[in-house]
Amino acid sequence: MRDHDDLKKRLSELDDDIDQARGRRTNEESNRQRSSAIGYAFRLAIELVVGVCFGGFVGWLLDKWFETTPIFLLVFFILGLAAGIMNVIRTAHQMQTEFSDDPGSSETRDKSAKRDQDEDED
Amino acid sequence: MAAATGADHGGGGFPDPMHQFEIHRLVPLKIFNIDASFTNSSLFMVIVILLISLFLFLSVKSRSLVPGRMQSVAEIAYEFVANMIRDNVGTAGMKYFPFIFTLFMFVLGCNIMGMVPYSFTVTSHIIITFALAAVVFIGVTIIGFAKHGFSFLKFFVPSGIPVFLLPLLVVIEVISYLTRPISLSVRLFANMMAGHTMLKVFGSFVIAMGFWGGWAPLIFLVPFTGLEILVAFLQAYVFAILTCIYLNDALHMHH
Repeated sequence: MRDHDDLKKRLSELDDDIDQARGRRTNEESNRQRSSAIGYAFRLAIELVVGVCFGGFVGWLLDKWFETTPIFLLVFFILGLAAGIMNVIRTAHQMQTEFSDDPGSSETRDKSAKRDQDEDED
Repeated sequence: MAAATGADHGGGGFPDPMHQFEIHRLVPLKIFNIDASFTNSSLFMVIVILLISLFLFLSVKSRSLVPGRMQSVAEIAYEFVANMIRDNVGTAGMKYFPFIFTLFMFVLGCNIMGMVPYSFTVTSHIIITFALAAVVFIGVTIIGFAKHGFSFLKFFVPSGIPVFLLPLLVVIEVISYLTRPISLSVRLFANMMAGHTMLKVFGSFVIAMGFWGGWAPLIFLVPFTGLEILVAFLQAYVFAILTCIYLNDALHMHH
């Protein structure tokens, strides 16, 4: 009987060790993610700037065609701004899901399983 | 170009940080009045493609069950891209694996090649990155229309919106869709160009500050070169993963 208890104790100790190692690894992963924060910031900034610039460019082009300066420029500048902001929000959403589920977690697996199901239906 | 290239001077005796991005015609060529010269940019593209092909060909040549060092690297690259597609597009996306793998390896190869001193960074020119992004954008749009027919246009109509707001939101959605190739290309080009200009500027500080003062920027340059290598990987990854996300939108049509 003593052997059995001993074994149990060792098993629980091992479990603790494994849990600790897992915690360390996720910590390292989140550190690595944080180190690319500047990449995320850059991505958001570019999303916004490109939206505004593209809107302005399209407006300017339409104005040149129809000779209606500056109506289209103003309208499309605002629309481009809206599109840029929408893109930023969408990218931020995407980043949030990236951050919230660490690789291999149940959520990601569920998601990919769901996708596979979707494909079967198609 | 990496740190220690203070050799090429621009005007006025100071090293010109933009000199590294200049295009030279190596073999002038004109086809129907279109300048199709073989430039230093083309040369480095050919070098990158040859190196990647050679590396992948040689590393998997032995096809050993227990991979050696080189084969491991090739297998990691394969697994990495395959997992990326499986996670972001699902198994239906594996049909497009060859394209995304080629794209990823090419961008990564160009970015890494740029870190070799005296080489040319192909991806630091917006026309190159824009051409890549345009191929992705046009291809994905064609896939969307081929798969869903005209109902792909529903992609631009957000659900659960009052009718009087619809025209406005559809225009905004279309603009946001059209900005995709631009943001995709600007991101890669701006990252590469900014990083390499910074490297060059600090490299010229090392030269300008002489033997005693030059150590300070040199100490900064070492981790910055490391960061640039990280950026080279990261941007290739971002380019590939956004291609996957756009492909997923075209195949499954949900935001």
